[in-house]
Amino acid sequence: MIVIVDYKMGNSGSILNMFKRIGVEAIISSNVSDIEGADKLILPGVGAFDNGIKNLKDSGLIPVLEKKVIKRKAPILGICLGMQLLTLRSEEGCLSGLGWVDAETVRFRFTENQASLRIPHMGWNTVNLMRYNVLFENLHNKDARFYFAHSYNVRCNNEKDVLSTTHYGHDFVSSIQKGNIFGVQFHPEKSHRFGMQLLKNFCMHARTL
Amino acid sequence: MFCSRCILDSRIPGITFDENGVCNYCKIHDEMCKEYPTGEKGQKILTKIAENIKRGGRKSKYDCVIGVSGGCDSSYLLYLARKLGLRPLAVHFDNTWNSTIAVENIHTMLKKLDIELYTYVIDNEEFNDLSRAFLSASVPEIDAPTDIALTTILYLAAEKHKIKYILNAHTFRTEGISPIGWWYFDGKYVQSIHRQLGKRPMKTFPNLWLRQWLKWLILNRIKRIRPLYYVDYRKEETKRFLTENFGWRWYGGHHMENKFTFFNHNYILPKKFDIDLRLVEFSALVRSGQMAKREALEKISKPMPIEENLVNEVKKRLHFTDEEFNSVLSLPKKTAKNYETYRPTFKRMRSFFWLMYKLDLVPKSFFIKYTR
Repeated sequence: MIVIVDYKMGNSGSILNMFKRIGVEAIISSNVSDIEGADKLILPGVGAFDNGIKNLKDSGLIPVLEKKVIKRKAPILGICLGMQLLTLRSEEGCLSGLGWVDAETVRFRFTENQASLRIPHMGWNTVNLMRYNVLFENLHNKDARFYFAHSYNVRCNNEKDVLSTTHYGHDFVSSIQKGNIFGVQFHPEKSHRFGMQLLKNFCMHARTL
Repeated sequence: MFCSRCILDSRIPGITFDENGVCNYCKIHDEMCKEYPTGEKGQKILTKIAENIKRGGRKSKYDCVIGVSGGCDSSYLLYLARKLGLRPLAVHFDNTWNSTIAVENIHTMLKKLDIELYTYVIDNEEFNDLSRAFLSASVPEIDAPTDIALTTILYLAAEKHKIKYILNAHTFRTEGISPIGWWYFDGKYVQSIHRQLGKRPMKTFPNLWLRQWLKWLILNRIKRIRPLYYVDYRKEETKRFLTENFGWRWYGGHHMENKFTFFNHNYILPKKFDIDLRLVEFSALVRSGQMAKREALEKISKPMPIEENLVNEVKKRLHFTDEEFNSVLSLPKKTAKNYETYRPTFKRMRSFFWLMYKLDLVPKSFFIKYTR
């Protein structure tokens, strides 16, 4: 069973719909025992960093998530803000993140002649894979595209945690993976067949390490 | 914005970032690394410095003065001076807030290294009155009286024993470079705050008057040197080394050998001025590869420890009622700019101090921070 962690910050509904389409059993829950019993977790997220981390704290789910992800190594996929929450901190806010991945969340840094580039980075874009990972199985072809909507991006302190980069003004990290912890900056639930494939990969292949 | 190399961010005064997101304090660090090399090159320079010190002190009982606090850096400097074959005089300013471990550390180190100690003890009511004045002045430099007094007595000791060199244990590689604009202090600043808010006369406090200082610089030519700049100084290894070889003890945190400094760093600065000194220290350790960025960020996210007992001790010794103390804490923040200082004078004398820096008579950081 896949559990989409509900902390009142995200479009959990559309993620659940995607799981229905690919025929995977999933629920949206903020229940401790549901999370304890989950095979895999999705950490969704839309909105501001501090709000996200505060809601997560207030929901009281951090201890059980830590037990599940850090101790029992259950695979988790952070989506958009959900991926940013996995990092140590963000330029968007002043609270500390979960810090499960040695990375920080920063603003886009454009040079002067890129000033016309809009923030948020919104729309379809491609990803450039840095290494092989099951998450992108069957997504190696050039036409794979994903839907982005974000103003901040993740900067990894460890090069080897980077799974893919995407170009917008400059190359930024569009997905990460460290052991059982995955994160994607784009929204697979809005990325049609490519997103479906990615979620399928996460469900079928990502294993408890 | 966050610096892509250290853990400083855009809340730090005077910070700028280059196109790679690296901050100017990292740049200063790199420049200083070039100016003050370690390894073989550093060893050569250090040997040269030691030769000069020995030559300068041929006729005196001591050839250099070292200020000691019982902390890690100054304890190591004592050892290094001995290793270089120097004959230092240790000088300690007792502001009456020493931790027990600090005092023990000083004595253990000096005994094993066979170094004499000169201690200057200030009248405790006078120091408490001065500290109370600084707290009431609502400025972040409440440790300034201690720093100023230590500097003065180092010069006094040097003058008395005809010593030409003061060795300072500062290390930019582990202590860092404090941001321009976080603080400022000089003798006139102490005087103006004391005049406005002090209640007791200044009798035993050794203030650093400009005229006297200039005399020490120009006539006595007393140089201030920072030998640890030339050593590949690693904090954790040094602590272990001192413990194993000298029975030195760690007191739990940077600058925590003194209770009043501890109170300032862990209570006043973060609570009232939103200044977390660990940012500077950890950034330095990250830059010099002694701490992982991740570890630094994790440590900094935890609040600094402070014991209620210590806060109460400060209140009691400084004769603050709870009410007075709280009203002092909630006073609008002020800086050195609100009080009289030597700064305008230092600015006028900028070219003179540049020369002093080039002649090793004042540290470079003094020239950079105090004369513009």
